[in-house]
Amino acid sequence: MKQNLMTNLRAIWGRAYVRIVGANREPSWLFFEVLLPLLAVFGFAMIYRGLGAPEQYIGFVVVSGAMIAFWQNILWSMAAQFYWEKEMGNLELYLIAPISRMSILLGMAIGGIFMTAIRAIGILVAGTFVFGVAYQVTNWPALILVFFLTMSAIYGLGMLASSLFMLFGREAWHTANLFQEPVYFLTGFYFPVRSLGSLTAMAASAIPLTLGLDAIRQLIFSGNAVNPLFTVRTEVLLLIVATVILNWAALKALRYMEYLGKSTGRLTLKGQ
Amino acid sequence: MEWAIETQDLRRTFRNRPVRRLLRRAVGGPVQDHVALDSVDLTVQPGELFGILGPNGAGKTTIIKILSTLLLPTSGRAIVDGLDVAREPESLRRRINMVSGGEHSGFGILTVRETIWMFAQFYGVPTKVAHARADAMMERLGLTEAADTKTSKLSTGMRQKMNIIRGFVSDPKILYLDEPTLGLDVGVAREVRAFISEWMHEHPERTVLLTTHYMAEADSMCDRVAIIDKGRVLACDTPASLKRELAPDCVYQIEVPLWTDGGNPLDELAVVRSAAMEHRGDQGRTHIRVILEDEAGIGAVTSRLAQRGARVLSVNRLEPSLEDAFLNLVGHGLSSGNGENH
Amino acid sequence: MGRFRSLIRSLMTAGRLEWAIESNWADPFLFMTYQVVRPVFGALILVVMFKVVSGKPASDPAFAQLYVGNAFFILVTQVLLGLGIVIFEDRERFEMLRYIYLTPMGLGVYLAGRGLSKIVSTMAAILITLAVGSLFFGIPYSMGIADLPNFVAALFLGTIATLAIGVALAAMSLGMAQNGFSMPEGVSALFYLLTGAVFSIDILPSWVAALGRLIPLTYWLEAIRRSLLHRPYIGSLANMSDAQVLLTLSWTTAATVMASWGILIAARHYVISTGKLDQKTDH
Repeated sequence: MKQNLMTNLRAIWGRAYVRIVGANREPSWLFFEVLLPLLAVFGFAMIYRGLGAPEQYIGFVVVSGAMIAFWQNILWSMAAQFYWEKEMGNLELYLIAPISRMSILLGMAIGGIFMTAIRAIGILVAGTFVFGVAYQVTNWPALILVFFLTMSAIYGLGMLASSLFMLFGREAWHTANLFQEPVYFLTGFYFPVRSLGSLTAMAASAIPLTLGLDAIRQLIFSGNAVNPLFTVRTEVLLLIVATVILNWAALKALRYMEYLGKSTGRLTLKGQ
Repeated sequence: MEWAIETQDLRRTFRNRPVRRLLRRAVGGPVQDHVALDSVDLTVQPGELFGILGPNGAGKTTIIKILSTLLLPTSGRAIVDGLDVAREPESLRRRINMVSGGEHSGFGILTVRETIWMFAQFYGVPTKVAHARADAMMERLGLTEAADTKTSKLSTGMRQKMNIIRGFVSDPKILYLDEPTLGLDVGVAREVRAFISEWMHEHPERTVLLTTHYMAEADSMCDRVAIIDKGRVLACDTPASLKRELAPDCVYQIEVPLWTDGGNPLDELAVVRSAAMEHRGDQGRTHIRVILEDEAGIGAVTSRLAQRGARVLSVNRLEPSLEDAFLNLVGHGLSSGNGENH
Repeated sequence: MGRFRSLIRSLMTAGRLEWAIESNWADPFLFMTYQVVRPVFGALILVVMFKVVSGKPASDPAFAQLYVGNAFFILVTQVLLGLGIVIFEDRERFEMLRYIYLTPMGLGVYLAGRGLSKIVSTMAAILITLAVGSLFFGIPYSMGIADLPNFVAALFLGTIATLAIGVALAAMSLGMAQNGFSMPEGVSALFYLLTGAVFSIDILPSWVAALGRLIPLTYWLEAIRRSLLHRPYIGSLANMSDAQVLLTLSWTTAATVMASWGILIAARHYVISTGKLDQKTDH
């Protein structure tokens, strides 16, 4: 048991190392991963300004822009990475090693956290400065708790997605692409999710990001524009449930997808 | 006796995906499944360097993938170090490792030393131990100077040396080498083979399963060789025994002027067990390597050649090689197999 | 004539490759769904944003301008992202880039061919988005026969400009590490800001708006809107006639094509002299 744990911890560190080293050796990420995503945030902020929206909506866009950084890190730098690794020939070497697949994924996520955090902070700072966003944080401990719960829940979702990437390769990549806009729409990245109507909003709360964003908005902004879905307390409880369910489902899915891949011979099939 | 590796009636079939099968049926195309392995029975003793020799598409890589837990057999069993590959893969992974020829795994942004260290972490090797092992192996393979070079800048030979070290650094009980010298120049290939042989000598309890389509490699390195073609094991024995099965005086090399008429002039000659032609246009010669049923058959061979207008320039009797044994069993050269994509 | 035929053949081959790669990953049904779901949901985001802020229905003329601009901007996003991926995939994943480089066809034609295929498939997405706009949101298109030549000319020129920008960005990617994967997305976002895709550039600071007026896509979207909705969108361009908008689109497109060609030549020279054509940078 102890040997297993040590091996998996070493694996997490080994895989995270690549990302950390990559960030230092190719500093161009600062431009591509920070400055350019800022432009997308500015775009939506300007749409609201062009429509004459209350300034709070611009604040929503800035905060969402920061959260998108984490979402994209989970989806593209972790989940989809199995597709790239399969093409590179690394996946089969991970699979024959005596480690959990989750260790590799966690290593990728942790390794990317540094870049992602810089991107998120950059968007927050630049967006706040350029658009003069005002925050009224009412409860810092709750905000930190909600943030970490959201991260663990979407991490579970990301691992679930990675099992699909492992097996289906390019299909999964396109499917993730396919759901990018629907996810942004349904999770209320750019507007309070309640604007979609109560029923749709309730359904959308199945995505942990919806709950996380809604709670974060309630804790950072005040006023009617926030239009919350549930109370923060309810959303925290739901996030805990989502974290448990999604991580458990991810473990099962990874095992099942690997089994499926090994049975059909697609696990190491390249160029799909 | 407990075998290091044992396969029992191992079979692996690859089927088309359901939608593609339907579409193919709809347009009247073939929907045949591909049988990559067909009732393969193999045993490998602990401490053996066991070779699997066969043309492209024979099923060598498929066997490796099953034994390394990357692929499930369709039927049959494979047991490695007493563990069933299908039922106990997690326990098995601690004891094995794998290196393939022409591998491009790793990350271009890491150095050689970092890449080896990273993969060692996946096997729980402590950092100090990993570095010590890596340094020793890099020294033996002449890679020390390139230790801090990014892998994206390595030549093919250096990259494969790094891959080899990656496979050995976890000190596996059983190591799979899938065409480890593929695409390497003579010098580098020799270094790699020497390294493997030395490692086996220093670790007599370890087992290596090597797949190759280089005859000389199998002949010189392996304790025993299984010859495989179209998913079936045709023979399995020591290289010496496989050669001995052919009567020593039945292999001849005949030289004729360059044969341009197409086909094989010795077709359907009963006394000829197999004949392989090698055309050397620059010399204006064709060399025909024949394996005869009987030494006396050489007369019939030269007569046939004369009938077909091929003047016999020389006839040399040869010691049979593993290549001859292979030709004898398989009936064709290594280059005429189908590509193996699984 | 032989060279022209060879060029067309190369373009078509590259186009067919793009089609095969993009359509190979899924069943045809799913592939078509992909052409619908992303753009429609992208449009829905705007619908909700508009409704939430203004309280007006989607059939409001102000929304129509926003909707049409967004619908056609899909072309820019798809082409830029699509061509941006080509270099990284061909270089790092498929290791084909060097072989493409060596062909008589050359990289420029290869990228243009793949871009053209992307354009064709994206047109379907644009049409579907426009149709959804009319059927579900009551967008009042009013293009008559007289508007058709303008529309076709604008569409043609805008497509050329988009392709040229895509090829230029792909060329710039040649010398970049894997991180540059997100550059086309970022540049697409920049154009989203500067070309009046979903808001008039007049609300931007004057020096920023001036930059926007140098980009052919600004005139492209303006010309398309005028053809479909009979209303100018960008206030500062309101004094230009349709012909003047088209003329400005023409010369800015020509300048973009020439700049793109120059970038391609410079990028090719850079990667060959530094040995970066084959570099592997994934982590």
